[in-house]
Amino acid sequence: MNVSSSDSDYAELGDEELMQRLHHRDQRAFEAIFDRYGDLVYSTALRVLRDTQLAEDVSQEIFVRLWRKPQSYVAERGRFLTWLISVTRNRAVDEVRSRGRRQRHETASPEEQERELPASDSIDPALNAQLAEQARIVRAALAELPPEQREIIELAYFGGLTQQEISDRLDQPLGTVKTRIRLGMQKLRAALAPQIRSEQI
Amino acid sequence: MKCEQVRDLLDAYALGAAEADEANAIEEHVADCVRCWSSLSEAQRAAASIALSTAFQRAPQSLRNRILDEAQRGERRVAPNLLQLARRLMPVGAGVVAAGAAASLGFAIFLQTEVSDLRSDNNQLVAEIETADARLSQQQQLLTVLSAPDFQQITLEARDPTSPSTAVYQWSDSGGTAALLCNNLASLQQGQVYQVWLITEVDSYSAGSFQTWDGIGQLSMDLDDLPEHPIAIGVSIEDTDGAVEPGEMFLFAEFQQ
Ligand SMILES: [Zn+2]
Repeated sequence: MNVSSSDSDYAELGDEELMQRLHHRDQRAFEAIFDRYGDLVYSTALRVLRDTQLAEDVSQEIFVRLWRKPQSYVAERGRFLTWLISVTRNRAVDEVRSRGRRQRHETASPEEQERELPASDSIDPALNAQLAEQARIVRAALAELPPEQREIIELAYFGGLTQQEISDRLDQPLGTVKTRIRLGMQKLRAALAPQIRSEQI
Repeated sequence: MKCEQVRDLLDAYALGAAEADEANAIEEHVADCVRCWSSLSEAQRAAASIALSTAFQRAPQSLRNRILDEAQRGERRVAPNLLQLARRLMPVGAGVVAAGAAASLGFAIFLQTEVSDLRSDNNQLVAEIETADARLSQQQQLLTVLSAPDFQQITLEARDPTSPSTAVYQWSDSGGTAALLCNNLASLQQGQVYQVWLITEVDSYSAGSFQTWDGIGQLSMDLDDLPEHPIAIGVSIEDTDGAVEPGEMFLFAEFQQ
């Protein structure tokens, strides 16, 4: 048997194809999915949770559930990558909320934490090339946003705050928060339009 | 909600920042409106891409190992076999109650392997995975009790008549083992356990403690560790470390002397 060549076959398969194989309990397909997106899931969970142990727990849960219930991803509804990221982000935010923001979020507010974040220009060299290119485009698009729009978008997405909560926390009128989200997302959508149209995300 | 209002909220919704009532209205609307659904899909893809801006960290190797191990372990579907085994081992003439106990045991085994998939609150999932093997051996011990020829059992009553909780204590003197199976238990607060007590004429002995999985709880016991002539058995809720003296018993039964 020629293990190494078939391993690389798996690395060549598209996400949706790998997911198909998951339905047939193909463990190598599962491994390939983890190797492709494990870092992304873990990093996303870590960004939201700010706790490596919790980020590991959430990542494990996401992947184990994926293995047990691959049918929870429905290919007709969109790309696997989009779905996986959304599931991860939402699960991590749930975890933050269910903990009542006790440990981490009392010591530093989300906006302070956003400022503490390391510069995210460094891209892991092992990150697969397509993902790395998408990450570069997204970072450039976010960097183009006026800081007040970017801050609110990140508070919503990574901080898990609703518009009302952001308004309370930043002491800005709700209308202002809503406008900034709309404007910021409009620009982000425009910058990402080529990726969105070509179904890369 | 009209299309226009929905469009105004789609970005916030995609970011997870809509209020609950807004989110419900949006979900209802896009179920019937293809155009708004398509706008939403676009907004969701833009929102998901934000995750790509995060500083990438390498997932720990130990995490990878745990996840791949779990996928392999998930292939061992023990539940149906154990249920059949339980039925086959049931002592002849043990009666309807015992058959019910076997069914609930099978139910418990089945639920515990499947329940992690269904549970929306997954806080316990990781702990469950780690204790799965321990539970399996407990269940095997339960089967030993059930299969013993001198198998006996007693049903515990809930002190609160409105409580749906039920429990049965089963033991076999020849096998030297005992088991308590509980159903419809209330979920515990964090830092609490169910603790089992055997009460004699002079004292009460802790027989151990357990957690619940979707209302089901079980404890296997070694008769050697228990007092010889108990007059009653009870279950109380205690702090995780366990109590020295029982608090209020909410499940209770007296042995017929
Ligand atoms: Zn509409």
